[in-house]
Amino acid sequence: MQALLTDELNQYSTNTVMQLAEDKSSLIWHFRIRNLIAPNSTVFPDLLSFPPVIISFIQKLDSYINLNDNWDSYGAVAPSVISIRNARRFLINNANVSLPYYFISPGVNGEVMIELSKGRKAAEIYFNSDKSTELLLFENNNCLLESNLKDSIKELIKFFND
Amino acid sequence: MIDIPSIVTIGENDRLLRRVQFLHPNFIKPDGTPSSASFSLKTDEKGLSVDLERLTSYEKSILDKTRFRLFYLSASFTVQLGLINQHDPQPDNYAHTLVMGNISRSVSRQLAAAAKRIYFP
Repeated sequence: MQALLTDELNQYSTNTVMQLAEDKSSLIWHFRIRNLIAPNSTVFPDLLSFPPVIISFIQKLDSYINLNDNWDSYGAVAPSVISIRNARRFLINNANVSLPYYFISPGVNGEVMIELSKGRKAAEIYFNSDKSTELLLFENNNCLLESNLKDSIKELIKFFND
Repeated sequence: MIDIPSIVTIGENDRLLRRVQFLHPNFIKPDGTPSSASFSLKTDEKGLSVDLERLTSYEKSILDKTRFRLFYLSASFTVQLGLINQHDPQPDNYAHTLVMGNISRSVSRQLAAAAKRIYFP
């Protein structure tokens, strides 16, 4: 749990269950979603503040755990736990940042790729099995920047909000 | 004696088929184009595996129509990107071809963006 939720603890809340306690169906839904994000956690994100796209991406990420090698018929490596965990952490930490989340998919070498897109602009973020990240910014599919998330997160946000 | 399959020359007008998964996980984006990840190379892979359209059928190339969609790349486009199209017949797939060269992340995106859907079946 700590490994998953060490960043930005101010985004998390322990009172969400109390808010939903009167609605049983919502409570069941809440626990299901919570377990996708932080299984066995007693401190978990306030999921109701997350945009639906983030919830959807996290659900897809969780499903990648079940993929085996050669899942694409061309010999792809199954997504690694590290890649999935780091992509999930990025989504949780940046759920409310103004970024145009568009698509998520596993890569062929065990990585996870998150794509952002807004008009002619797009970005691809790769969470690799060796814990590294790659960030590419595109305009009309022409690459403008190749970097990593740590060094260029500000450029990423600026790129989509100029 | 082993039969050595003949190698064909790939021309500008040839089309190169690549299947793209659309079900668990989905590699096709909401706008209908495939994800860059579906045109990426695995570590130590010699080239991107495709099928030369004129040497195969859509039925064979798609492998499993319940999981994949079929897309094609123009051979002239991959050459424009500085890549080499090399016929690479396999025992179970005479049409197998490799697109070789520096297929970086950005080149993968260009390949994916240029891929056109074949509506089969």
